[in-house]
Amino acid sequence: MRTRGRQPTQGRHPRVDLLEAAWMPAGFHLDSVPAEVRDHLEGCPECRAFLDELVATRRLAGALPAEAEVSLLEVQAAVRRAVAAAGRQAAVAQPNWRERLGFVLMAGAMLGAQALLLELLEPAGFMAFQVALNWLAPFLFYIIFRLDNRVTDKRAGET
Amino acid sequence: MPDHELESLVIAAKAVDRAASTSALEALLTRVYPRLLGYALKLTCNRCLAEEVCQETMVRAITGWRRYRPVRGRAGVSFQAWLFRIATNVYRDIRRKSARTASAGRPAPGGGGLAASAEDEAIHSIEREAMMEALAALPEEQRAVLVLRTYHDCSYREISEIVGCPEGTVKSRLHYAVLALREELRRRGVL
Ligand SMILES: [Zn+2]
Repeated sequence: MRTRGRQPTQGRHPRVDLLEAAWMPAGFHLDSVPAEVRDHLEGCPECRAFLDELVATRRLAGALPAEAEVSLLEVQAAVRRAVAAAGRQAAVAQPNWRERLGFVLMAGAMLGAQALLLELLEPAGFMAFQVALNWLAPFLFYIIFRLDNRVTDKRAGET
Repeated sequence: MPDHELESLVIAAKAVDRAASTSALEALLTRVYPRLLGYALKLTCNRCLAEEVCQETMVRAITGWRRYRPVRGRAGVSFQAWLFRIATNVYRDIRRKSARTASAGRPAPGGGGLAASAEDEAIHSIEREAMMEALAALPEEQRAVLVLRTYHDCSYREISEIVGCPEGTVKSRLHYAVLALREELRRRGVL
């Protein structure tokens, strides 16, 4: 790729152009350097030395391979681990429709029971029921969360 | 870094139904893993950390696969660039969260775990070691840009998408990185 849209500054060392040319993905080719820069290079030993160093740096960088050497078995094992981990995450993140329906039904049943008791009991009796329910609420929540966790853990173990 | 064969496989994998798409993704990950690990090794300069980055990258790729849009015309992002972007973010997250921050920038012995196979092993291993150390000495943002450009032939636009900064910043980071790398290699006497 040519360094288009930017002319090397007249009378100054075109270091930026040289750096870009030396670090092109396809490697350094003198042809890819703008003509003005090539002219400058011919008369400037400093820039030639700079370019040589950049090219040598690039060559040294090539000592490292782009891909890691890793056996197919290791790769397959890593991918399987990732698939299993993603499956566990998905199971934890998404409660299934039966759980959701269960919670909705439970909330509906509680509301229905309250409405019925409001009809059947005297105000004092209903208040006593409310107090008992308030006291029991944390325990109920605890049981529900424990059940939910057990269901989730079981499903996660299956993936 | 366009790998046209890989990209057509990605488009084919997206076109099939959900179950088949997931197993196609596994095949794609298997294919691209050595490249991903190569990137992560140079980014982290630490084999264990690189494997951790790859693992979390693949988990995020699998869970986010349905949201991924392959390249179509000027829209979308290449599969490899998408994975590299995730890997870059995973590494940033690990660096931010982990107490192992101190070891994250330390070069691993033996060329950062990149197994050697060349005939002129002695010279190569010295050069590899020096190169890994020099890479590890660079600031993290410069290192990512340099690695993407040098080893994965990424365009400036792709790098800007992967690391999440404007193309101008990518160019200037690359320039500083190359100059810093030259100094580091000089200091180690290999240049
Ligand atoms: Zn000059």
